[in-house]
Amino acid sequence: MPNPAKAILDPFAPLTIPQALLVAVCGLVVVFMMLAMLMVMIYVISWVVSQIEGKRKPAAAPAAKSAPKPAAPAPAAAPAPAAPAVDEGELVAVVMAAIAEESGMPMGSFQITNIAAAPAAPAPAPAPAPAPAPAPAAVPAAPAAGETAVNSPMPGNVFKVECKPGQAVKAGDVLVILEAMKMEIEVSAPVDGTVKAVAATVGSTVNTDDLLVTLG
Amino acid sequence: MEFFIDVLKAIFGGSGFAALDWRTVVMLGIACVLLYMGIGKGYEPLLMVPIAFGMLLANLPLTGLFAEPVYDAATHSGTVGFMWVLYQGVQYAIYPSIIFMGIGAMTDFGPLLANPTSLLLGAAAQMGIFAAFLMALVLGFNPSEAAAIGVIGGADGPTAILTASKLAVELLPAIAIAAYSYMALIPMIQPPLMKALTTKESRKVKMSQLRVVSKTEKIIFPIAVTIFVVLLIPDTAPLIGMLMLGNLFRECGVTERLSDTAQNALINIVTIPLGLSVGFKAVGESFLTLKTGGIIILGLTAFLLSTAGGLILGNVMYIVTKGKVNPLIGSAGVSAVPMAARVAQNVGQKENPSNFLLMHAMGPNVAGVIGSACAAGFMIKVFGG
Repeated sequence: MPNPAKAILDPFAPLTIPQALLVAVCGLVVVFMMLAMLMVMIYVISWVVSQIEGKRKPAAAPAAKSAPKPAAPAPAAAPAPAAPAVDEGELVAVVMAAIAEESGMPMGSFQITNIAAAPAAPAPAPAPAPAPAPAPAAVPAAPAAGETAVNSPMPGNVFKVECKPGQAVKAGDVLVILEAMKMEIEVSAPVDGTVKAVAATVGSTVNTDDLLVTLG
Repeated sequence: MEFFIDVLKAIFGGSGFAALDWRTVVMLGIACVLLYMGIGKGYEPLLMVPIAFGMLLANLPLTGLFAEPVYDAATHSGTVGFMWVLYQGVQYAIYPSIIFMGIGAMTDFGPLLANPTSLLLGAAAQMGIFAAFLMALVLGFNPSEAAAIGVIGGADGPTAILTASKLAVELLPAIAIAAYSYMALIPMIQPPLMKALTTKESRKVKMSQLRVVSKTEKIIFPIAVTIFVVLLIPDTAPLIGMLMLGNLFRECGVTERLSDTAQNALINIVTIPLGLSVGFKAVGESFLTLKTGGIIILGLTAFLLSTAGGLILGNVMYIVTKGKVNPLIGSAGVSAVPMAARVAQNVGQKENPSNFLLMHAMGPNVAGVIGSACAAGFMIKVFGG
């Protein structure tokens, strides 16, 4: 039972209309304030962490990814503060290029199979001076002309693979069904083409941007 | 022969059948309908079945299940009703807090960390709480009851139960049942409203990839939130503290066993007495009133208004960012995790098959959990729960 002695407003006496409106508006404002403060806090945490981690391993994949935009605490109204709109293919290429550069391998010596394994690739090279964002160098490493990489849109498990190498598909055909949050999510072909390779295996765990299927 | 008749009379006179009245019969009927809703229709069966069965037990007469403890100092013995013991977990907010720990261990705050603006969507989706509070006042509920009813709009079962147990305990069963039934109905309640409040163009918006959130950030987050939020509003310590502890178990990487227990075994163990206790409180005299009908209607309105609040801010963000934010994720600000996010994903993918909003919608969704806990904390503070 509410205790009137602890209460700010009498919990049992009827409220007047202005009082009631005041409670409702104040409540909404308090909730917004709290969450806005949390938002600022998250920006601060990410900024601090990116500073610390950025110093430790400058060319590592996550750093390369956030490189195009310094993770400064953005103003409250800033839209989509996270990753800039990077095309998926380009993103893979950025990461691959960064790793290739770091471990002294010639460009193109990587075969893209599963991106999740890539950041763990041995990177023995002594950390070079804070590497400039390798974004400009990225384009050449993109999938060969005419090929389309179909990447996982979100972390999840591969539930079903609905295509075979060599199969002709039309835009919109379902290629792979993922399972995330107890929900089946269909990944469909973005363009017409033939299935060149299927990287996804049933039951495996995939992360965002992991390659699922290559279309040619 | 006379002796035999006396014995029969005594047995029937002392049996429950003699003590039945119409209220009890109606309550038993309602309990059976709720059991059907849980078992036959699958409406949140994990909670509905224990709640309905608790209701069944509580309404059978003469069981003495709710007897308060009686201690006999002379013989060092005593009696207490079984239900009374289990109910203490609700009375002192123990079950909701432990459930929150499980939810924390289940929840990945990554999408929220990657896109902190979704916290605002989670706040906007608490609008239904305050709107339903005003409507409940209009319908003649007293302020503390109205506050407890409003919190249904947060779509968060444990929070609604906690608030009701502090502010309006006689309404607890109706509030809990309304909250859980509407949560189960979210896939039916939300989509029409989502379509009405967004344009076809905006529903098609594909959102940019979320950045990868580093492990360090995920570990710092629960610790920092606990320090910050609990310092700011000490009353939220049980809910937010446990939520963040569960999440720390999940993210820190060295307590997998605790995380596993918190999100599976422990949450199941606590769900049983929580459901039963809520059902125990649903006895004829307090449940069969016009107020229950009012709560059912207000609960639905609160859900709809919360969804609308999230969608409106979603639309604002869509305009401000010039079409980078899909307003559908706003509807996921109601904190039913992860149902509301799934609904956003489904509605979005129907419009554009290559649109994957699930992870984007998880941000507002988990923000909604924090938002409704804050709103509940505010109500409890104002009305002295």
